[in-house]
Amino acid sequence: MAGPDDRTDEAALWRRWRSASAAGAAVAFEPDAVQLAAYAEGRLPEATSGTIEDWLVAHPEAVSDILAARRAARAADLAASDAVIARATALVAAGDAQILTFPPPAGRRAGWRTAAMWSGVAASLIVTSMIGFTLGNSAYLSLAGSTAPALGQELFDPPTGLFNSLDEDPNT
Amino acid sequence: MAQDIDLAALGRGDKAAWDAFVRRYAGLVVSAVRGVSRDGSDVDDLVQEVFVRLCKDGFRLLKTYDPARAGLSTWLTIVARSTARDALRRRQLPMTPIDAVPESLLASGGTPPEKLRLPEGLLSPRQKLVLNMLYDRDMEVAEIAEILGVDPQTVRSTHHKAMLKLRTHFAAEEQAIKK
Repeated sequence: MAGPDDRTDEAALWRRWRSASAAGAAVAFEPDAVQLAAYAEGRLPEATSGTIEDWLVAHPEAVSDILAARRAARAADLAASDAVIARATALVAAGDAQILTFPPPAGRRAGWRTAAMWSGVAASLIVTSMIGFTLGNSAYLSLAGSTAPALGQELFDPPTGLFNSLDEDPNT
Repeated sequence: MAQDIDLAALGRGDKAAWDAFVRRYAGLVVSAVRGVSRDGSDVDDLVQEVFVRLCKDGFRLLKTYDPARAGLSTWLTIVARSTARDALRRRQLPMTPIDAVPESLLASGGTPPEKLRLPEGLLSPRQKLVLNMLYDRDMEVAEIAEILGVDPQTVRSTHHKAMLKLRTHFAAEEQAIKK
């Protein structure tokens, strides 16, 4: 292989090529674990290997997986603790061999009761606001000396407001 | 290695087959996951994530394994590492290792990527991978040879041919520009 200076120049050449070819270099192909395992074992035809190698350039972590997979065939495994084995075996239930699942927690269900409750709260707020505004308005008008009957008077003291048009004597 | 495991029974969710599979391959999964785990304290949880993924959705992933195409240990190592990485990503804030970011994105408002007319297939996928591992990942020739399943001399030869192509191409480009 080349010396250190040559290596620097070569690295620069490689990066120059890579940056120029990076645009549109997205590889649509996504190998599955079986394909990667077959590649790791050298069992793929050249064309398919090439496609995977193109993909590996963009996925450096998968390169480490390939190396680990190659070494796994030769290396002795680490021992798994009894606890690890017990947790994993418990994933499959005995007897009917079903996966143990738990129902999702019951969520809040918005029914008509909830809607009615919130509608009542909204209505209460509106009515309270209207009464407050009306009383405040009445107080202002009386202080300001206004002669016009307040809305509140019309609503809550009908003889002076609502029934004015009925020709009733307001003083009775 | 897969001969001692009844894959058909495993795919059906047979309890005895599953237990035998776990006892036989838990050590391999631990080894695979340990290579991905950052501090070793989460290895047991990551191992469990792998087994959950294997039996999830009616053993869907396990059923994709084809013993005619690859060995079970090889396949399981790749699945375990990939699952462990996904689990670690989900637990962490999104962070991209700087090595995974293309250099063009790291550039701080510098010159835009060079627009060269690169002939299709100038470098073969194998050549690209060798250069990627040598220069982007700073890997040693022996390690690259191990990954590719070839001898180190083949790696050097691949590297040499790739560099020859790049030098020839860029020299021709520069000649064309001067004209």
